[in-house]
Amino acid sequence: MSLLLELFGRLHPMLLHLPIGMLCALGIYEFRAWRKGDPPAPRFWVLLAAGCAAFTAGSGWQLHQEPGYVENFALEWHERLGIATGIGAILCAMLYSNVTRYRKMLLLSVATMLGAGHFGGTMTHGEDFIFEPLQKLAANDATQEPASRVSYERDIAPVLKAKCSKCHSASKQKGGLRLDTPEWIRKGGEDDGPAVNVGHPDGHPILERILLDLEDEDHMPPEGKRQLTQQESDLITEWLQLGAPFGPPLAAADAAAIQRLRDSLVHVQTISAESNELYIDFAATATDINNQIVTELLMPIKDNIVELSLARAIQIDDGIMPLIAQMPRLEILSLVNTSITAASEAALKEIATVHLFGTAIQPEQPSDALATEILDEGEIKLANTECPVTGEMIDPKYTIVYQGEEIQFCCPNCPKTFWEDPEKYLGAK
Amino acid sequence: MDDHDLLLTRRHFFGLGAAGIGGLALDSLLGPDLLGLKDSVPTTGTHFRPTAKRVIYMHMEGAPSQLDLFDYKPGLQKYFNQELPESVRQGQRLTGMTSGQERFPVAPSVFKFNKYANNQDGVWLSELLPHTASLAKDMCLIRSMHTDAINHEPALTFFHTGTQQVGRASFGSWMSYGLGNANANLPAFVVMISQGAGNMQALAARMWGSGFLPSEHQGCKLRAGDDPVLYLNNPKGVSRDDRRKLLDLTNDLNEKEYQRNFDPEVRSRISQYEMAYRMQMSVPELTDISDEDDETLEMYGKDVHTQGSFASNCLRARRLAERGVRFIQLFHRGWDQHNNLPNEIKGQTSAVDRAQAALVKDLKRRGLLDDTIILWAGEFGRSVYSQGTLTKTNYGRDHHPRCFSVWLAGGGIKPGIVYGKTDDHSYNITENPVSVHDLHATMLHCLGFDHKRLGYFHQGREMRLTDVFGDVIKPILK
Repeated sequence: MSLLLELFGRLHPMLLHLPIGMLCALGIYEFRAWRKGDPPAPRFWVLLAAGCAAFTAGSGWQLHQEPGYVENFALEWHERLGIATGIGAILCAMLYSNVTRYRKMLLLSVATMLGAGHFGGTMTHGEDFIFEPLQKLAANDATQEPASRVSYERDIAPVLKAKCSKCHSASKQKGGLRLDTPEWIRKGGEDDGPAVNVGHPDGHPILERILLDLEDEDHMPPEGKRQLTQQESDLITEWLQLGAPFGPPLAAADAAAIQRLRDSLVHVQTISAESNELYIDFAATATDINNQIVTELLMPIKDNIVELSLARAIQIDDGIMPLIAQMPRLEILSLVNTSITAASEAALKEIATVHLFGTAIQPEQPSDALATEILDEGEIKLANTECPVTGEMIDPKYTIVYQGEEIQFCCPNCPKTFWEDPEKYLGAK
Repeated sequence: MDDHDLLLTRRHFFGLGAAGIGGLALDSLLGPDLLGLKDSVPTTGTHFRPTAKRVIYMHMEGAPSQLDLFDYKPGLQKYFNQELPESVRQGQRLTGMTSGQERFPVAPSVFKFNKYANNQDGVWLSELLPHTASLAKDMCLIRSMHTDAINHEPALTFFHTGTQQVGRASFGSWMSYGLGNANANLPAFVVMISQGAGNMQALAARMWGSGFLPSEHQGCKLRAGDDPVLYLNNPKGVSRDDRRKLLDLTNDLNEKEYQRNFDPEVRSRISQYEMAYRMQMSVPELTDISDEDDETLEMYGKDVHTQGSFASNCLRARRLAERGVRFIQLFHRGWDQHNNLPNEIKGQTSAVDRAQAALVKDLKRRGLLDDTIILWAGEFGRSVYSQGTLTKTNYGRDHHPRCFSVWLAGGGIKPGIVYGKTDDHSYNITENPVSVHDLHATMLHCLGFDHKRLGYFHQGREMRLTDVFGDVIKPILK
């Protein structure tokens, strides 16, 4: 029985279109009839509309009994107005004999139905579904600041809470996965490991799950549970393409400071179109720069630097370290062929990747040019390439089998000669 | 507006093409999103964080034999001089050089292969590449490349510009256009050519041309000798100050011209004059290798002292890479061994083997291999059947587009792996085929680009390096 009820509930998204169509049609018909003084619509159609509306309201109520729905404003009012529409439609049928009352009741039912429909749409498609294109148009007009596009705290965490927390939070950890704090998200679950690939635009298991077909059994959220809206999944995609940053969004670096760098022939590049993180390379002026010049140029944008190359800048030495220490996001630093010394070694350990070739810290290691590990050696073992009788080039057409091995000859006559004394010719080979 | 102006405006108008103009008009009216064009609007600057910042592409011009270098087929030895079965050849179109041959006798490689430890279960490589074999744990060997063209010219054009037709932009010029340069004193795209020992094919400058892209993105050829860039040095009697004054005046005139007709090529001209002026200082510093230590020179081998050799170009490539040049293209010519292959290929491998391995190791110790993609490729492969007379120690091989081997290293490519397989005759691909478009898409991915979004409007449609093809080969990414 409960299975049948569940099926009944699942019919809701399909059934709901019937009362919408029928009540609207009835409304238009009665409005026209009222203006012209015509009699009301045949009773059969009113009864059918009432039946559909009641049935739909009932299936909706049943669907809500299933777990996986987050109570919110839209759901609450969708349910209330939906049930009101069902009752209203039945009252319409009951009041049919009194044309004025019936028509007033119908007006009321159509109104509640429109409200229920709106909130239902909000639940499945998100709040701004209809006007989204217009908002985008407006957004295009405004000069878009690439700064702080997506924030974990502001944009992502609420979506994860609404759509994932039923099964992946403190209360329940399906697949060993929790998505309620940055730490748990990074830790990940049993199947995929870390849910996100921090610092990379792709390779995020969570996104693969979201983008799988709804029918796929690995798709998340599972079929039947509330799905992400297009807007939500776009937000998550954008956030992941930025490399899943959990911290507060980074503001764009000071434009004047960047211009100053470019005027000094320093290469400045955001690491991607969407990011405010910078890659700085002094390649063009390496031999001319010193600690002071670099410090003055980079100090205003120190928070934004993730990759920095000072390679070949022979005048750069330990005096650069106070500046380096003030770069919280620095991940890759090249000090190749600079005058940095062992005094800075400890401080440099803080940075994920540091290249130190040609400095006092990492003396050159002569490399063995042929340091290879051979696992196996092939051999050249051609079948006989010369006729054992004449020593001429073989022709595969003249092949015999002798003691299990194929032997080839140059012409049809040689095998005869061979059979006379095989050992003699094999020995000769 | 006089006739002259009208002419220029008209030319630019039609350069964009009718659809281009219409598209641009619609675009500005509606915004790209409403037209669903968001993903196809050409952009510059990376789309996501790249794993590579530059490319060193060693092109082995003439097409090296995969059978004698990378694609180990020990089973072939027992088919020596036997006819290539029709079940393998499957009616494959041949070049005019062998289509008239009576027989297609199988020619197994005369070279010994060894299995070297990599990050999988080992990789078989030819005895001809002992130094390259020492990169086994760094390189990603693709044995399943294929191409559409069977002759050098179209195959080279395909590999370098993404289509067999001439006139498109080369890979390096796309990089220059999409990424700009990391060193304002050097061009973003540099080309160096070394001559090989064997049969050499023509090598046209459009392999590094910019096609429809503004011409400042074309590759700059760096020559051997005292004059690495032609006409760069001031003529006798012209001082650097005089040159500066001349340029200032010319730039003023050019800028006036630009304000009159808005031809982007005028701006290209200005920027190229300025680039040349800065290169007068930066190129001599680049090509002077006196600051290299002996140990480094020793790595590259004794040829490094011979200007114009592959080894010398490899060392220059490293110097260009550390100076921020985006795309460094080396051509080594002479791999077209239609006959006398076992002898000629030795000359070729001895010229490149040590130097290319040194280049990768040198980059690695300087931390540059992390963000430099190395690509080593020919334009196609060579046939398993012998062209001309087959003897026990000698054979030739004809062109073969259906399968060949290339290798990559660094820049976010998975190190120490082999990708793709061919059949027993190294004739057809049996597993994981990789097209030229796929390779381009994958490299662009490493460089931070969605290959479908790096485009340029020309003649009424968007042009891309991969056109409408290409898939990123994810299994070879780190």
